[in-house]
Amino acid sequence: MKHVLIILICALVSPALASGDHDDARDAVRQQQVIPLADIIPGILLEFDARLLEAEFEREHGIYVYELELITGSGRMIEVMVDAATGEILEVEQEGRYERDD
Amino acid sequence: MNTGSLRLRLFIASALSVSIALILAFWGLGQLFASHVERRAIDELSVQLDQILVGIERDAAGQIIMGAVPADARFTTPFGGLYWQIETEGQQLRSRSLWDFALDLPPDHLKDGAVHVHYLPGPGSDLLLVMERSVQLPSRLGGIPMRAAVGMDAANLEESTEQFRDDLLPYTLVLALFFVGAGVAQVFLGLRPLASVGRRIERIRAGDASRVGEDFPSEIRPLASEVDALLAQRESDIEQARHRAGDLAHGLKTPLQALLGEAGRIREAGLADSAEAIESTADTMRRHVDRELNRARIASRAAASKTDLAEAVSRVAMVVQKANPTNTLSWKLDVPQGLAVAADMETLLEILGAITENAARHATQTVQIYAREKSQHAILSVLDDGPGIEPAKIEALMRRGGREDESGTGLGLAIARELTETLGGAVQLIPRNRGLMVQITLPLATN
Repeated sequence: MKHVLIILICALVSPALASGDHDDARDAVRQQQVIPLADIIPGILLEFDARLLEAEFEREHGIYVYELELITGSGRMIEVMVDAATGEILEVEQEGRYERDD
Repeated sequence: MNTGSLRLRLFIASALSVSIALILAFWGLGQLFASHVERRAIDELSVQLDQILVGIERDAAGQIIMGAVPADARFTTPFGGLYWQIETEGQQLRSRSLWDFALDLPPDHLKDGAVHVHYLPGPGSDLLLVMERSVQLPSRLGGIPMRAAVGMDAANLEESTEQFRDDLLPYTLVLALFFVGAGVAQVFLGLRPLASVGRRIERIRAGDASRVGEDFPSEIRPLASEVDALLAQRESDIEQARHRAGDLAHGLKTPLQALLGEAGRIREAGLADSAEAIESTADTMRRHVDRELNRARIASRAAASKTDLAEAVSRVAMVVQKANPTNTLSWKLDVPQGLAVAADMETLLEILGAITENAARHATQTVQIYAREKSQHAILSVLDDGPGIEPAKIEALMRRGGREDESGTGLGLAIARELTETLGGAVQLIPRNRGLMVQITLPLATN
């Protein structure tokens, strides 16, 4: 309850506060609400043939999401939204159209 | 001792030692580089750790916070490769790069100020090189003890070493090629004198040389000297045997004379047939004895003699021409002046006479005689353009003792041959396209 409060306060006070989101992520992982980022990243990097530039941990529409910024091997920058609880890709944003390999 | 090739043995040995040396060097340099990379990484971590310590502050609520986050972007990007973590009693601060992961610092109790280096698991499956230090914070920060740690991905270090090894490999291979090539060159250069020993001995067998000589590397010189000593020993053995044969012939002379006298008395006693048989046998024996004595006499005289070959040849040619005044042969003589052989004039004339007469008898138009010098020997060639001799017949002609039942031609050549051999030379009959070539090899006079 205390952590939820902290997260709420953080979200309310400064939604863009990046310096603290890793601590939020750690708390969420320890409460087994989300999958550790390290478990999700390798699959995604492999799928997009990309390197991780930046990650953010947010709560959107009531669920925790990882917002990942990637650069692909061919030099395209893409943003991937991942459901932090399931590891499911929710959204892929990029310049131009993204074609999945499968 | 097994046979096979010395070259192959040396080559295999050198290839093996070069391979082992280079593999050790390759491995050793890789290890050196890895420890060098680790030392540099530890140096960098030490700088980063100092920065972390400088950045520590305390907020209004008395909590420790990281005021000035180190500028390196690797600290702020999730899994960025560079991490920090500080721990006080009841409080833990982590770099953003660690994300949801916390370093599990081993529970070793560090003395204040002491620095420890560990390899610890990092976020994901990465291994981190971690430097850790215990400090006592100043009183404005609460004066409490604290552990501070910075770490970096150990995979990077390993990758550098791998890259170094990849870069090193082509050079190692080039070096290996060079060393193996140098080894081959060494083996070939080093073993070349052995082949020249073989060639020298071959020349001795062909009669072109008498000794192997001493001009060899010190490792081979004992072999050459031993061979030379063996040759000298053989020569003196032969010399001794000849002396003994001479002594034997000499010793037989008087008993033979006595035997003939005895045969005379048997004849007087009326046993003519028995006397005849004894006399004929004794005669044959005396011929052999005389021949041997003659040989010994010529040989002992020849060693000290010195006869001009050109003079002997021109004298023989003149005599043979005069003997056949009706003959219209053209004579071609080419014997260099000053070529002196170790033979007395008398024997030399006998040899040359027999051979030249033979050539003149068979020649149709021309008789050629020329001489040249070759390794302490004079080689005299007498050529005619007659019908020649079949190769098979040459052998029969030259057979020792074959003269008894041969024609006059054979007799002359066989005598010439025997005399030449007594002088330490040799006679060869060589069939030509047209006619025959007789080659006489005679030792040059020494001094």
